[in-house]
Amino acid sequence: MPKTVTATRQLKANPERVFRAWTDPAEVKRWFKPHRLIMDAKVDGLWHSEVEWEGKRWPHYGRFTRLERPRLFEQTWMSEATHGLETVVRVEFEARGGGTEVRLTHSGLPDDAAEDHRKGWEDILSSIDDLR
Amino acid sequence: MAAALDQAFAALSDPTRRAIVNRLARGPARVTDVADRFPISLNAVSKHLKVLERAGLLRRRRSGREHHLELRAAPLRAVALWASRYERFWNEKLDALDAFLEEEN
Repeated sequence: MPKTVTATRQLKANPERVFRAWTDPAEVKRWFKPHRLIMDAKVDGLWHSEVEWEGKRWPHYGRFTRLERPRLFEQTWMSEATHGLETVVRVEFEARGGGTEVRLTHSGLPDDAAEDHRKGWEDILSSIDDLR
Repeated sequence: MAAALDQAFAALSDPTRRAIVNRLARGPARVTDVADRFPISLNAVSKHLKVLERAGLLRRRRSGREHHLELRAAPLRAVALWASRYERFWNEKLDALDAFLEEEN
């Protein structure tokens, strides 16, 4: 069963500014901090990035499928973690409270986390035991 | 014991609460610092914090007038493993974006 992950944030900057932070390669470099970034931010434009995370370099690549400034963009996303499957990352920006609500949805992820989950259960069981 | 587990897992069944936990995993924070990051009211954030507190996952420390929130390390070390890899990844990236845009102001 493919999985979907969501995350939201309230940011003070306006949607136009936040959209730019995600889609202008010079900006993306400054906060996403990839080791390498190639990005052609247009529909059917390709991107590649290498991100260091949890002590490992992860090459990612994909293609922009939607760019609707400043409301949303959508891109395909592939990496070792997706087992080469074309997952989809959609990021939506909505003006709210003088800033922007960011809603990120990453869908089509392979459900290979079963092992992580099992390990997590064991650990949480033993740490809750420690508190007793 | 079983009741404590049920509470911990019920508390972590909500993505906003997992995001709060992700934030506090990097260090203690004030209630307002946590509330500012999420597109929900302070009241709603308070409710989430109470659920986490009741489940034994976080505690409040008073220093002067301010309340600081911090994770209770033992049960929460497990959360990093338990939450999905991509959920942790995206929460960290959104925190980095937030910090980048704040710096600019």
